[in-house]
Amino acid sequence: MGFGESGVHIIFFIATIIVASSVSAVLVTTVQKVSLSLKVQGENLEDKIATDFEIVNDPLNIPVNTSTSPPEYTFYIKNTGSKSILLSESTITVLIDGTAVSSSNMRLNPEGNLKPGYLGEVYIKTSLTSGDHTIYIILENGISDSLRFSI
Amino acid sequence: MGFSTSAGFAIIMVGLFISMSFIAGELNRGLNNVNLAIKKQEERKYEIENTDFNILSVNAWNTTLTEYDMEIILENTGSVTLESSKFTVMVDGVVVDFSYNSTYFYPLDNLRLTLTNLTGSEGSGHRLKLVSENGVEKYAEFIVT
Repeated sequence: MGFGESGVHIIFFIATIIVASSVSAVLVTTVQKVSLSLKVQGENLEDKIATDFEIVNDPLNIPVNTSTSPPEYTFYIKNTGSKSILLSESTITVLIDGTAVSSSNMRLNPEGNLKPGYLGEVYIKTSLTSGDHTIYIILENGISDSLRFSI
Repeated sequence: MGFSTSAGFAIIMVGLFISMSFIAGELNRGLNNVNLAIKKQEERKYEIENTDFNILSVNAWNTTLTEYDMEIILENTGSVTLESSKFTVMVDGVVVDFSYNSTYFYPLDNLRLTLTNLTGSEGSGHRLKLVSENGVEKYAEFIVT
């Protein structure tokens, strides 16, 4: 009888430990995932706050190379933020009059990081009619700038 | 029964403590980084608001029939010191190289930019655009003499 009662206590104790450990393990794992998400979100927010750029072309004089077909227009972007901007065809989106420019019709200089305060070039091959147009350049983190220009 | 409950409670409390330390550590690091970025953004805004410069003069003169040199004098009318090398100079929309007489462009100081071997004949008119490192822009028109 005495042994039976002790046995029940031991079984109950072991069961409690197992349940409590499981709850703790689930809690720690879940919170670890949440803290990882917080870290990623914090980094994204930090990245957005530190990134800024401007399209600095003279809107009445957009350089164009007419020896290519279609003509190649040059747009200058200046990094006015406090961190480097990654320039790559796969991370930059360019819209001209609302239409996306495919990466095969885009060249970048430099390919890679554009340091704060420095000027980069975006070459776009497209056919534009005479008149007013708008270009939008959107970076990988969603920071964008636009320029209304005339051809 | 009483000891089992206490042991179980203790284990859950330890798990909770570890979890909270994860969250607290990450929140602390994340908030510090975001605060730093916000501080830098405020500094950038302050610099843009307090950056201003004037184009005092533009002199362009032919060196050959089809080429000219140019000298631009700027005056820093803002309260921010600018880096001369980070200016962007565009003539007729095209970025051109230039040399400068001072590495830094201090408030109330003048800066001389010199451009050489530009294409244009005597009497031709051109558009000039200057952009500072933080994006402040100025325009001017000039005629080659």
